[in-house]
Amino acid sequence: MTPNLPQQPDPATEGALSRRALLERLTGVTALACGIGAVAATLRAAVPSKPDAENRRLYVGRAADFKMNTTTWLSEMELFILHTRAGLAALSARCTHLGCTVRRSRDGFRCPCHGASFDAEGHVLAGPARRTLPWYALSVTPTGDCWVNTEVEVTPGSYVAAVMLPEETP
Amino acid sequence: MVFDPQADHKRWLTLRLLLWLALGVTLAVAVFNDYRSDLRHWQRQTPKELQALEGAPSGVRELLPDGTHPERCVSCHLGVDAPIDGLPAPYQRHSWPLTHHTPKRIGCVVCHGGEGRALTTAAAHARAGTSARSARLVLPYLEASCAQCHLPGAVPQTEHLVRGAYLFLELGCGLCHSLATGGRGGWDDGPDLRTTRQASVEALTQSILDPTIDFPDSTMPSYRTTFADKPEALADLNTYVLSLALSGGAPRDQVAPRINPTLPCNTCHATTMAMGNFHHDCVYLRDRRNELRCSGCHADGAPQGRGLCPLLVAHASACLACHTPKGPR
Amino acid sequence: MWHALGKALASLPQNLVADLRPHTRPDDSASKRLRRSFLYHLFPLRVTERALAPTTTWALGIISLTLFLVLCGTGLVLALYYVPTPAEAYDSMLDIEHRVALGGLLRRLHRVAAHALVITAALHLLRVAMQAAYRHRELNWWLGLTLFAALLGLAFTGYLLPWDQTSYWAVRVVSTLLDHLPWLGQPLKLLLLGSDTLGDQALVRFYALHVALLPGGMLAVLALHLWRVRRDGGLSSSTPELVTQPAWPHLVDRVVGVMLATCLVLMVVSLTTALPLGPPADLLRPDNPEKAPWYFLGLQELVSYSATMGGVVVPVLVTLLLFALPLLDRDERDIGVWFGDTAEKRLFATLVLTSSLVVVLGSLVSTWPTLTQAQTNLSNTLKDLLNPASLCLVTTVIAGTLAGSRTCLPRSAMRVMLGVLGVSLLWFTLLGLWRGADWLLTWPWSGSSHGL
Repeated sequence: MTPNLPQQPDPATEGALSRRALLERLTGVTALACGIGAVAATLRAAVPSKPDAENRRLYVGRAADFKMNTTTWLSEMELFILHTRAGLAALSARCTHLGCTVRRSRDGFRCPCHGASFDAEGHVLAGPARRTLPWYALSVTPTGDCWVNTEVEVTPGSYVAAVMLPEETP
Repeated sequence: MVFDPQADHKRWLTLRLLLWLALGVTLAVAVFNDYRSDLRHWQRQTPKELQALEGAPSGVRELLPDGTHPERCVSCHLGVDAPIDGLPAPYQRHSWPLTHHTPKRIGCVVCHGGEGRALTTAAAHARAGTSARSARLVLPYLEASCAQCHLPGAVPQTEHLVRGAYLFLELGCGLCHSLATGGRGGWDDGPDLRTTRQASVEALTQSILDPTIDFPDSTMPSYRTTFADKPEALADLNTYVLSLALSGGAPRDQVAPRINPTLPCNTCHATTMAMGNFHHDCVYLRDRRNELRCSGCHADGAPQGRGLCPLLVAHASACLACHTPKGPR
Repeated sequence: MWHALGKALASLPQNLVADLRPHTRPDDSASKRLRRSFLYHLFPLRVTERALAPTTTWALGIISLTLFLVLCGTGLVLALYYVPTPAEAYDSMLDIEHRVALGGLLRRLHRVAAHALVITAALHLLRVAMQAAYRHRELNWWLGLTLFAALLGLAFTGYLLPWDQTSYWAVRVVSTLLDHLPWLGQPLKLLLLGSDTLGDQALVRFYALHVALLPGGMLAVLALHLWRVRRDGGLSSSTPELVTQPAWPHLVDRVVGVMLATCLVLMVVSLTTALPLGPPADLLRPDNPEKAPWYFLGLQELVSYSATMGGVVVPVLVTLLLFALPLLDRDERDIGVWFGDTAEKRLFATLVLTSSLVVVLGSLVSTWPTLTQAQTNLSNTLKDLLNPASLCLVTTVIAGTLAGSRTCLPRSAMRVMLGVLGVSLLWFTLLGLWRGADWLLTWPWSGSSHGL
């Protein structure tokens, strides 16, 4: 018997999978599954884990620091803190068009990159931007500390009443 | 057209030879450019007196004033702290003896601007990231550098800077370009001059003389007539404005500096105080000078600048252009 | 024994040269030479005269290959000095520029070659598409498209590395384009930037992509790409040509000549132009206007009309069209030539010219102040539908349909569509270049200081 002769198909088992073909197919499927799993695992490792939303709260200052009827610019956090008669609010300074940092202008905010302009509450006035500047959740502790959570967006126009503690007088 | 293999090969061979030659020439040019660099040129021509003192210079000399940013100015300015007078540029010694501000301790760039890493004259003398010459290489704009650490007026022989600060007050620049509230002046918006990127003197001059050329929406008036025949005054004001951008102020605008820059009283009052009458040269207060009494600000006559000025209380919004009533929060 | 060793050593240089250069032994048979020489192995034995004519392909592939090799070489040296941290990136660029011997030249060579490669590779792609040279070589067409995508990725990641003001904000603008991509955008952005913002994480990732992942992948795909060209029999053609010439020396002459000429042009441009670094990146203050790198300016222009239409719909459709080209076009005739006949050429010219004119005029009219004013009052959906980006799309489809119905050939329809898209992209890039402060159009002849 020469081992290299092609096997004659056995009429009894024709149509069914031979043991060898089954083994081959099984190996192939397993290898494919492993490959996909390895790629997925690598990609998962490459995507950084986000810190817990609670940890993303930023301390922005004391409520008394933000004077009535002013808009305060916190450059490092890319935030504006609004203080109006309605209360305090935190607006993102990132243009909703292509992410440049907006600046204050006569009628609100203006993006220096592509000319989008927003009103004092961040609503689009003109230009390529479509969305209102995001309003972030702002909370004031009983002691008057202000925290902003940039993970949580709130509906534009929702101000937080600033509990103004009586100022300490020396 | 019939393809002629022989002629074709010959043509391409010739072309290839020419191309190799041309490439060789470009390489030679590149190496030659590197060889006759400014650094080598100046080091080769080092005066004999200097060579006798420190030996013949070769290669890059570096200072690491802050431990991380190398400054290579001394590679060509070889005689900065050598005790030899009368050497030509760039080997001349510093115009005054550097006792505290030695190059080893603070470097050169902190005062003179320029790019400390560069080794060509043009790049080293240019403001970082531009091809424009650094204005602070020489006087009067050099004085702006002092304001990074010292109060204007506190350093002797910085007349340009002090005169510029005085002009800033006299012309009421701070009413729009507020130094206390970060750009929100009492009257109108103006960019916060402390946080703008350091501009060139030419751009500053243009913004003062014709503000609308660079900023069409600007409501700032033209100061062309003010400075019509006073180029020195304009240079003084520019020196002061440069110093504002340099000293920076607090990056977080809502943190109001006490009086930023905290001008010592004698900046404005040098002559008037001596004559015994109080004269505040802020445009807002100039018309109200009769209402002012020294005791309003100086409780027991000592010029501490700490008391409560009656007008400061009543018209706080206008005064906020230059001052804040309280100290830093 | 010593004698034999000496003899072997003496003949070593000659043998080495003989192994590399085929014509050192003229008496060898062709097949032996083929096996013997690595260089000769890259080329077929004989090539058609058409392949030798410079106007057939304009040598765009070889030029691109040369540029890629130059980029690898210069990039390796630059990578020795570059430090990918926000604190040191700019300073290390300054060190390369000033302190490293010939460093400035190296950096300029790398930069000039990168910009040139984007152009030549795009032209190469356009040449293959226009000559229908993708027929019967679908795999290689797709490999080529992959290479082009990797190339854009390389150019884009490399753009950030100097960490100067221009590069930082250009990349920040483009990475924000991902926000407008539904579903995939956010995870992709997180994967690319490593955080929400363009910071130190992003710089390390861009560096890894730029020096390892992308060039490595590109080298592998490039090898496949070249191997497929050889396996597919060189230039594609539907009419077999009988008149051939030996590849050595004629093809090699041309390849070497083009490579040398490319290097020469690179050297001359790099020696004569100053490409200074901009001011260091200021992460808090963007310039006005802030622009994407020029090869993404057309896309940025489209996105500034409408993020959905210009940023998602049009690019996705164009990519799909490019990938589907060899599947849609099954015609066996006229493969590897510019146009079937003069009638088709005329039709192509007419349609492309008129449609491009429509796009150009349409986008110009849309900048009319009254129209811009009227547009701000529209609802967001209408804003996404009525803008130059959709005009470009509609015009392309109409022109393609017209060409297809006239000639009954999908190929000529697709040629016209690619032509219109190409000209429109060029136009939108120009518009992007002409955008001045506040993204307002500033004509080059109006003499404003703003611009690229």
